[in-house]
Amino acid sequence: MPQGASSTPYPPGLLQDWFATHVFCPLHGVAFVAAIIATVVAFVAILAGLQSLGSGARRRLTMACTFVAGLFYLLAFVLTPGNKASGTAVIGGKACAFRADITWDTAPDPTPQGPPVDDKDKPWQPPKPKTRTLKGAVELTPAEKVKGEPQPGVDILPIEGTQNADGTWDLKLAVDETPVALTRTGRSYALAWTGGSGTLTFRAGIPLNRVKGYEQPLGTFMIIMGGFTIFLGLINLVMLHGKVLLGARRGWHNSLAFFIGLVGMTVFGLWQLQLPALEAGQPVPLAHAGYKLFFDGLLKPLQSTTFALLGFFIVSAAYRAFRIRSTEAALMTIVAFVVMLGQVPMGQALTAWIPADGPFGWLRIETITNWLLTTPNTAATRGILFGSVTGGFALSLRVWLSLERGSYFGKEF
Amino acid sequence: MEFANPFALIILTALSALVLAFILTSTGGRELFIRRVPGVDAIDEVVGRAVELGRPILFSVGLGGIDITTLQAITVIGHVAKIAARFRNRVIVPVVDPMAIPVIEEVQRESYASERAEEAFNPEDIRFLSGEQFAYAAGVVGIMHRERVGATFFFGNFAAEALVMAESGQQVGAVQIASTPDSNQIPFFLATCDYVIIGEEYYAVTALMSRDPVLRGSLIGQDYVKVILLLLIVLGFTLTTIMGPGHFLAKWFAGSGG
Repeated sequence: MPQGASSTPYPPGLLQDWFATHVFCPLHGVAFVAAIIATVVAFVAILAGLQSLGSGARRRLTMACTFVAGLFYLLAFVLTPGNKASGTAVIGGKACAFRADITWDTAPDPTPQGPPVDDKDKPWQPPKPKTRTLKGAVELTPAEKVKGEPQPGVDILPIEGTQNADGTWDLKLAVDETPVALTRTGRSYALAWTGGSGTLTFRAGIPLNRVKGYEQPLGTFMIIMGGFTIFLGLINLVMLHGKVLLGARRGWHNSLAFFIGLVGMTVFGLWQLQLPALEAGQPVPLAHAGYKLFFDGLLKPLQSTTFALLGFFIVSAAYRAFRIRSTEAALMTIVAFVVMLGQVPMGQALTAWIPADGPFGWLRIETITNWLLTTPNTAATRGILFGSVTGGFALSLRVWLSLERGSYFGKEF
Repeated sequence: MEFANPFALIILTALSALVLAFILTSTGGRELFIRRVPGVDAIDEVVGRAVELGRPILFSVGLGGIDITTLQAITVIGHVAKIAARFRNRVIVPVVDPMAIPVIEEVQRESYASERAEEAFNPEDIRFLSGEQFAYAAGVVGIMHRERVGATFFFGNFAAEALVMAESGQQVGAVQIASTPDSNQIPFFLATCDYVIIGEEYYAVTALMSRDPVLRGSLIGQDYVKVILLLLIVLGFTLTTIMGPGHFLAKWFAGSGG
């Protein structure tokens, strides 16, 4: 879907529509080839530019980029999107207050809709301008409420509105299902309907946040950039195993297995993608059979085997951890024993004779287990989490402001 | 919370200001006290032990990509590599995220260069194993056994593979230091490693390894941040107990942004 055409709760970003129309749009023919060449040239130019810089200048550039990126996310979080409206009204002599949510929507297409078309078959359309729509409820203030629950349509009145190009709002309101005529003067509206009148004043949030809309496209950009780094990993692996294999060093057969796996998975993986989906009863093509052999027959069982090792390692680790060498170790062993008993039916059966709702119900082993897990254990875990979060906060601040030390940050300890 | 409400904005600004104020205080020359953490003090000793045994060191940064947690681990790699370089020892760093390879390579290269031990640095010691969790774990276990590592460091984000790797380290007789902010893996590391640096101590490692005033000031600042947040929690449950759930503090906290 082209940028800007989707309905989001955020105001459109700075120049987002321009980018959507001129940059993030499908290209064909010469323009498509030219765009690819331009991208490669730009990429090479940036790399060459970075290489020509000294390490000090490169670090300063990194610091600047880090600061700008951090500032972007900070602004996306702290600036108001202006998605709230609030106000007061006097309807039939009774004071009311209201809050409404504002959304940003693409105006509905006035032309009749044809049958649904698959996204990939849809011709690309430039993004349409968005409008702000308001939806909320006007409700009697607590002082005006009589006994009993407020009645929808009488005490709670739905309010809707659309913002015009000049910033004014067209509002819709009905009292006792009778539409109300609104006459605007500045931010105030005079209300009139059969049998009554009133006034309404409201203030819609100012949409300061124009950067939030870029979070998603930037996230996509990061994913694409991250995807390219798989080649870094691949080069690293091929060089490492290639040297072992060519030099017939110790363990060369492992490197051979790596190359067989790499080539096999790549060839069969890409090949089977080109074929139509398998149907029942049809002979299985070689591409699918090969892919199945590598993925379901080798990778999955090997991963499951490594995971299954955990069972054995837990036993040996538990043996070491639960040896009673100190008061703390003894306490941990007792607690672990109780918790384990409380998790199995045999352990629960030991104290099943104690009435659960009696005065000694808390002595039942599953009750003690539950208390241990939800009270001291949760308290300790939250304590650790709390410390981690504050530590992460301080480190993030240091990284953002380039105050962090270490060779990566250009400042030695 | 998608957008900051006014209360969140005030808290965020105040806490950032507090951390920065302590950094300024510390850089101004005021000596700030930080308690020692045995796991951090042991880093130099553990590297020395591997040197004595004549075996390489393995440093795992876990499953995380290039994020705050991994950046902290990379800073520690720089320190460990520097000590290892002094004795011409190797530091093997297997990674899950290929994006980390050039960063770690650069850090290690500089550490070896700073000790005039460029010839001891082997770029092949920074190895991408796999992006898959258990394939990575199997690769790390293989390296531990083949290279007979003398010391292992586990710094970063870990999941179920933590125990597989740490227990294998025990089997080869390596001295092990683990550090993770993830509370789920701490028990496994406690059962298998010689030293464990837990929770917020993970982010304090660099401040403890050096006497850098910026890092120390930041650490003290974050402690005060914690005190303020704890006071807010105490105030919150006291008000909730007395006034019920609709009190002003709850409204401030719950207010949506925008």
